[in-house]
Amino acid sequence: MKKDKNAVVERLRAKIQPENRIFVQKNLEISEQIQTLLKDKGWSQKDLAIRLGKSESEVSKLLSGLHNLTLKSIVKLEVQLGHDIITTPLEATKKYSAVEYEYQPLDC
Amino acid sequence: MNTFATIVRLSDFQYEKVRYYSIRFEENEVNEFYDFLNRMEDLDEVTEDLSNLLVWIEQIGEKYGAIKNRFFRNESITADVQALPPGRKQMVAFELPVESLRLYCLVLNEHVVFLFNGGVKSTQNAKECPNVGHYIKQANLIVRKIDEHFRLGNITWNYDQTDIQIVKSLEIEI
Repeated sequence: MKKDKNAVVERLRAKIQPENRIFVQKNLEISEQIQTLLKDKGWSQKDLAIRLGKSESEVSKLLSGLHNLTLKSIVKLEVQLGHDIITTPLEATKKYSAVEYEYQPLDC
Repeated sequence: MNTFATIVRLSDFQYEKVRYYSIRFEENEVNEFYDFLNRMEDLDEVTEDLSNLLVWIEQIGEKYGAIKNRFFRNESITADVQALPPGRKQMVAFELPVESLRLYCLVLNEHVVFLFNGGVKSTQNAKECPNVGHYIKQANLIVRKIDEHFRLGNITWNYDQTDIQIVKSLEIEI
């Protein structure tokens, strides 16, 4: 039977697995985090590429949100940026529950 | 031989932050992006990459916007784009790489993206690849033509540059 070429999106969307969605979402979140750190430091992607000993094109690929980042690559990025890029919920809970907040009464 | 194409708004890919378009050659049943999807659908080795690409297109459309130098690459595919007069910003084709899968596109701004065609890259230099080389040339050619139609006023921006307006029945000679 001849396939309906205009219905291809419907067919392909039906094949998308939850892991595809999570993979891309997390990938884009990591990219967003790196961009924020670059902005804070006043670095361009080129600056980051030089520090990583990679080409701009390779860094661009890493940050595209489509590349299968390895933990090793993420750690290398964290070392160069001097900041965590990913934190597990358990670590985040430990970190933020250890912060002491001071109550400041409103001036009346 | 020259052929004619029309601009197609992809109704399956309209999001809050990005409106996606493609072009359809008059002799073809579907637009170039759907042709790409139909051809890749039959290749088992890219099923996962294709799923990731579709999710990515959706996420960029809904949440991030099409940020050129962050999510799209243009280093390797624009060398044969015809130079424009100095002072005029050049429109260039971009590449979306998902492992070995390549999709070529035009990012007009953060809100408007044209998705063209592509394939599975099989050689180091994409331009020499029998699977995608043709689509790089094609993308560059279409981009040049779209640029021309912008200059002619056949394609214009809407008031806040979040979408484009196309002259009725516009046919692009390619």
